[in-house]
Amino acid sequence: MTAPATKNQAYAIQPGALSAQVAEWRSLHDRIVANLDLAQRDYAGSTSYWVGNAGDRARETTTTTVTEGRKITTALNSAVTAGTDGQTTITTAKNTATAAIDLAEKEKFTVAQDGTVTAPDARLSLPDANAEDITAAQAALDATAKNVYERPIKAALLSLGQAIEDTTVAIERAFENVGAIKPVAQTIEVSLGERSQQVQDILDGKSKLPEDTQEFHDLWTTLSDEDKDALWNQDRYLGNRDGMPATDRDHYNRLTLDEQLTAAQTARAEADRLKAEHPEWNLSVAPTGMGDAQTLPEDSVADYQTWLAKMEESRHLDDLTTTAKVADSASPSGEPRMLLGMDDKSGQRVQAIVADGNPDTASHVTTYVPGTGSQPSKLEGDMVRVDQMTAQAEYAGASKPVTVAWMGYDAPPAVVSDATQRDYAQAGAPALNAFQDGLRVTHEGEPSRNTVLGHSYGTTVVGLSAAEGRTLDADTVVLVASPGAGVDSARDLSLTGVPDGQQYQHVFSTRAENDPTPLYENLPGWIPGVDRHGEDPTEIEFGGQVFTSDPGTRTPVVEYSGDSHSEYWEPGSTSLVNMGHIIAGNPGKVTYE
Amino acid sequence: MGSGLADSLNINADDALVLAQGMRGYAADVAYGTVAPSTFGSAANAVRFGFADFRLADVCATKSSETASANSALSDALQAIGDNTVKCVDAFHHTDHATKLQIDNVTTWKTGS
Repeated sequence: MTAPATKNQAYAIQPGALSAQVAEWRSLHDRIVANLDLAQRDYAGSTSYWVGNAGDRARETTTTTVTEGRKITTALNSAVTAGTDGQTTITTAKNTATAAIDLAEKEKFTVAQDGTVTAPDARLSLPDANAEDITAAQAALDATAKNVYERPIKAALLSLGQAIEDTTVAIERAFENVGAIKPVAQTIEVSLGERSQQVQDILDGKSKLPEDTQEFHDLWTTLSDEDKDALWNQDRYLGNRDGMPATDRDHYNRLTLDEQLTAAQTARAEADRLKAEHPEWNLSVAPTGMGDAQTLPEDSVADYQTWLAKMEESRHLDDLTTTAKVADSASPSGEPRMLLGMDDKSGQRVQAIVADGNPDTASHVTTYVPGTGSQPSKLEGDMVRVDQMTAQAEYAGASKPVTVAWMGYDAPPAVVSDATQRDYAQAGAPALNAFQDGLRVTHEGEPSRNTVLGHSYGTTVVGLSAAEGRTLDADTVVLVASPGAGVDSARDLSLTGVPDGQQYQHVFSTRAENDPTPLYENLPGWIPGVDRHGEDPTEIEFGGQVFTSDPGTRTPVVEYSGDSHSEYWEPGSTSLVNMGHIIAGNPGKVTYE
Repeated sequence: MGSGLADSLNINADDALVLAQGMRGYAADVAYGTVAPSTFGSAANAVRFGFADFRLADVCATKSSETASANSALSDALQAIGDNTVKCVDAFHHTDHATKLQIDNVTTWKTGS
């Protein structure tokens, strides 16, 4: 129950004091309303010159913010009303109470703080009266005090107290939603960071990002997100830079993949639409067979040229689609896969690098380099091998192994016409070498044990990445089913931190008995146009360590089989078990020829 | 996947910078309603003098303080929208350093520049 005001309070209260408070709230109200109206008007009118999701998001955010801001103005408006009304009510109550008190005291009655009224002493006004008359007069005065003065005074003091409390409650209620407005700024997805001068100069063409992997890393790790975004905005393939931490590579490569995949899908849809509109086109011999556009009906030549262009624009659709599918799926361990490389511009085919975890935080990192015919559209099969190696390495004792499918080069597309050429390996070797440098630079904590494992033509790439003046940053090199390791001897390989003559301890190779690929080294010289890829690393003169594999599938007549070339990762196979031990760093548990 | 910076299909730099400058101005004006030299909140002292011993003055002081906080957050939000608009212009047009300085020099109540 509300406490009544006291007598002193009734006189002391100054209802006019609320005027300043009301004026303060009204002033802020008017200021906010004016600015919110302008903000809303300006951004709502920006659709003509700011087109796209960013503009839509800015307008939507402005609307949301203005709506939230109007909760403040609503509160202030309600408070102004409560204060103004309360001031009037309190003034009336104060005047009523003080008037009642004044009236009683004017008649010589005494009014206590709580409104209790005491009558004056009757003897003072009846000095000559007898005792009986004084008693009667006093009784009459006391009755007047109680019934005439005290009751309305107490009622007035109670009303005054109630009026003040009602005003207080009304003001509290006016502001009850203001507390919820505070997080507005926190919901705005934006930071206020600015670009560094260094990055601005790069964007302006006044300087360049460092070519050196370590220097690039040193710069990159000092940049704000705004700097990084701006650099990516200028170079969509920035995520392929060696020396960039894996999480950033993954982030930016996914952005680029998403853009390129969307573009390819759009182009292919347009091509399909054109094709459906022209059933007369004989595309069974296209596209080159239809290149003679002059044989087409005149009214479809333009469409045909557009169709050719759209097919060209979408030529990487399969590679991009599979890369996205693989990157978006989790590895068997549950770790999200990381897209460490995505380049659909530099080579004939898309080049992709996908890891089954974060190599920067791994204990053991294996870079798997596939050979002839490998490309991202076939990535799902390679990821099975990747997953097998990671699982086997973990089984062999590696605490947190990660394996990377490295398709950072244009692998020879066909065996006969392309895999006989050394050019593909020579072109890919520097990129593999730089990738290994980047892994070492970006790794966090204790250095990981890094293995580079090539299969088939991939072994030639691996060998050349550690030769011809390059030093490969790897603890171990594994060459599986090699047509030639790019060099003739393990001693020709240069590995970081490995003294000359000690390479054999770090180089492992294997071949299945029924795998014909290692016979390749016998072809050059016999067949014109066939390049030599170097020595078969399983030959004793190569000087490496040769571990055992199962014989593989055998065909009845020639014994050798193509299937055996792809059976090194079969679950439980001798080769896979040995690979696990090599990756984990247990050479003593490997079985050797 | 998606990048906020890459989401502008088109953005006219001149118009958008005027837009951003306006928003930063609104943010500043809103802010000045409750931060110095504004005396917002001082009216509660008068209420305390006029209503001694009543909780009315405390309520006025508390609610004015909460309103000032909310107003500051509102100003920050408006400022952030203005700044983000500049960032989008910057990202879309790869603005050169001179333009960047011009953008930076747009008055903001936070920096006072």
